[in-house]
Amino acid sequence: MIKVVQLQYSTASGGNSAARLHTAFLENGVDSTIISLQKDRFHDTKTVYTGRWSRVLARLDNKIQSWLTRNTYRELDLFSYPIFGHNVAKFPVVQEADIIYVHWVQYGFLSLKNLKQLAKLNKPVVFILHDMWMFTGGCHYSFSCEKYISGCNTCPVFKAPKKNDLAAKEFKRKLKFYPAYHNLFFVTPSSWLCETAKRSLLLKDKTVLHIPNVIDRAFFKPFDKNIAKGILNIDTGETVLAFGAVSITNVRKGWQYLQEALQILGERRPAEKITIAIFGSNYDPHVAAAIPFKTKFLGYLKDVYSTALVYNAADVFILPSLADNLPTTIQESLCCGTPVVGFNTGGIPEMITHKQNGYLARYKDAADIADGIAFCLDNNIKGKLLPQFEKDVVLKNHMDLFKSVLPSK
Amino acid sequence: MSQENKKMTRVVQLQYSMQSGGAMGLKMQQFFLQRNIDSSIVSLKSDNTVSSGKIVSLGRKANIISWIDNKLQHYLTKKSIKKFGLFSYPVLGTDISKLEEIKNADYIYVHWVLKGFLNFRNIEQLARLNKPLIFIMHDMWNITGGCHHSFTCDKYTTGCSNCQVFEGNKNKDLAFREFEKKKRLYAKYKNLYFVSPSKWLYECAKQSALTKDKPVFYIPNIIDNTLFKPFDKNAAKEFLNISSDETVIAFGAVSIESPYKGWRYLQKALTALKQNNSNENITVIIFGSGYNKEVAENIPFKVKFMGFLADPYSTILVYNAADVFIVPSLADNLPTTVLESLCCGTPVVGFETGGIPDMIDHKKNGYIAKYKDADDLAAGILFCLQYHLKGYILPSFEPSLIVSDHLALFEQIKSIQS
Repeated sequence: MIKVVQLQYSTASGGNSAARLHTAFLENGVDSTIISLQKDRFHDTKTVYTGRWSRVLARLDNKIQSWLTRNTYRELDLFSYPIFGHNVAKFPVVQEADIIYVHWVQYGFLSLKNLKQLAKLNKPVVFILHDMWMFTGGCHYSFSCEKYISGCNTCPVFKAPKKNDLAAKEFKRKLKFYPAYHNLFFVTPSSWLCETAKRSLLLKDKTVLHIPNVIDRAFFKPFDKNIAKGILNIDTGETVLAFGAVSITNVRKGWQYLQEALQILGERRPAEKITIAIFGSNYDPHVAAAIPFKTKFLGYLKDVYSTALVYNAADVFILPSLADNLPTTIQESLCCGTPVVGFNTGGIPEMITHKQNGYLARYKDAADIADGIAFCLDNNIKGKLLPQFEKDVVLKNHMDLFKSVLPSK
Repeated sequence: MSQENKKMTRVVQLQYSMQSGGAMGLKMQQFFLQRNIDSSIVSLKSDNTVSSGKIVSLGRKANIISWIDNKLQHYLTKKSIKKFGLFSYPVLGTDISKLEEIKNADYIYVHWVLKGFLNFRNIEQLARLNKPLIFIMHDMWNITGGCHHSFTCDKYTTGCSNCQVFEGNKNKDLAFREFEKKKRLYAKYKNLYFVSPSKWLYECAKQSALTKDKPVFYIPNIIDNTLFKPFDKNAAKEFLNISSDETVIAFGAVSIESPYKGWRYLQKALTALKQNNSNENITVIIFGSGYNKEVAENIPFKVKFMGFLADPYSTILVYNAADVFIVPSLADNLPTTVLESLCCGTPVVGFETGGIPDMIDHKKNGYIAKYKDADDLAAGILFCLQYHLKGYILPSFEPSLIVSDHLALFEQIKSIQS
């Protein structure tokens, strides 16, 4: 049996892609263990936590990081510069593993030094890229900046441009690290990120593979829409548009365009009974006031069942992200039979076939988002997961990866 | 027109957290607001909660104090015998009497405020404001020297000493001292009122040396039956990946090791059920617990562990998927799970103990089994299944009636005070 150890910041109650891959591995005869920094209620005997001390250190790490990056443009999203981290290479599960998967390990979980300690074990280390961080000087999304192709410096994230800035230093450290090891492999969930990674100075000579995230259809599946609306106390006569609002202030998430699109829709369809279901947010008077329809704030949903219920209650799901890898929410919505409207950016077009299972709007064109919503409603578009995202296919990709990275016995 | 000028009644509710057990204030808030009673909440722990009402959560300092208090309490009660459950001895707490919400309130509801939220001094600071302080008793703590449930012990009726919770014999033990402290506090203030959600606890309070001369009322807990409601059982089963021809028995397993949650009796009952029943298509669903080998091996049916469910919608799905819900508690006040299940149309089987009989009309919306009789518990499950019993809340639990009970309480308090 192949032993895989997966490193992930938090299992977030089993809902994130690392936890899902872990469960899928276990179900399919791969001996997977997760090492997680954050404690979580995700119950599983194959989950190892790094302990209290590492969490205290991580907290300190975050404080220092946010101080060091205090003069950055917040709208350009996260810039990570891990300092302390935890040496997980010593863990018996890591020592015994055949392959090491490294997922999202920011927020003080692992530093570059820790990653080197893992690389030194001489086992295949597979990095699952959940954003651009592995091949940039520290930003998670570079937006229009392309300095990662030649080498980061004078980073636009920082308000005071400086040639030899933090991004330049971090980039050089990564540049020293990666070529020194031949057991590093990189996997991207979207082919957009795969292409981007292959152009980067840091990864252009490395093996970069595209394998989508796994999704479990046992939880995310279509259900009687009217029953779902009934459970949420939404009248069955209502048309329900849903979106996730985890960070409404984060420019990358595109709330500004969504709001504009809803305004346009309100003007065009004044007679229609429309309810906007918002998950990930409490009642927010500013958001409610900016939406010309009834709103239903569902709070931060923690269980897969309730999340699946909301997708099922929705007639259209909207994801207005301006930059994104392969948002899990889109896969979830499609599995629940709900079409998705999003911008033609990042990995989004890989999941949506225009006018088939959703609508791809022109980048930053709010009116086209409104058109997309109307198109889905008027043509009774149903969400469907595209074949390459099926669990079997994704697992097969990983098995092939195992074969190619493990020494043949 | 003078009616309109009448001042709006304002209540403030003090509660520990926004999570299930600690959140009774939150559950009452929306109903108070609907009846035009201004209700705000002061909670120690903050959480991402959907509410249209005002919620004040105490900041970091109060939470650190609470953390230290818990460590202290844990140390001071380290000699307690764990099987008797929690013994609370609040050491530190936070003075909230100066909060705007408290100052503005006409009535102060004190829900579950232990674990370092309020100590006796803090309660006294509130009592001194001379506003009615309404203690909603969620367990026996208000009427004992510190235990949350006295089980067979009735020392609280005369005065706690030589408490069974502690090892060794000591007449003037922690329970004794705490009992005396409470006695002094309760005797000193005339503006303290006690509300019990169950008839059983009401009787206990009437007998307690601490509260027998105090005004004690009985008002059940409120449940939102617009949120917890029945829908198509087969659809619910399908959603949870259970075939619709399966008979589903559900129970909550938050603390399967606790002897007072009655897991031993439930296990026996399920074994008896297996022997007396030819139906092969039975699935047992357990919520509040991830996969537990010991539990799974001791249940003679298919078992599905739901894990800890955090969202009400997921809980509603599970209740709806169940054909019968079992609460095998050997001691309980008015378990919310019973009300939730009944609201979702699922009958409940439980022992005749605590407030459980308040909610179940025997053989109508569930089955009340003889105390500690596993065979009767099994008979109850079978009865509910055979007669296709439907769960429903008894008329006295209708939210509108319960709000009226509270309004009547305000009037009574006014007449007592004048």
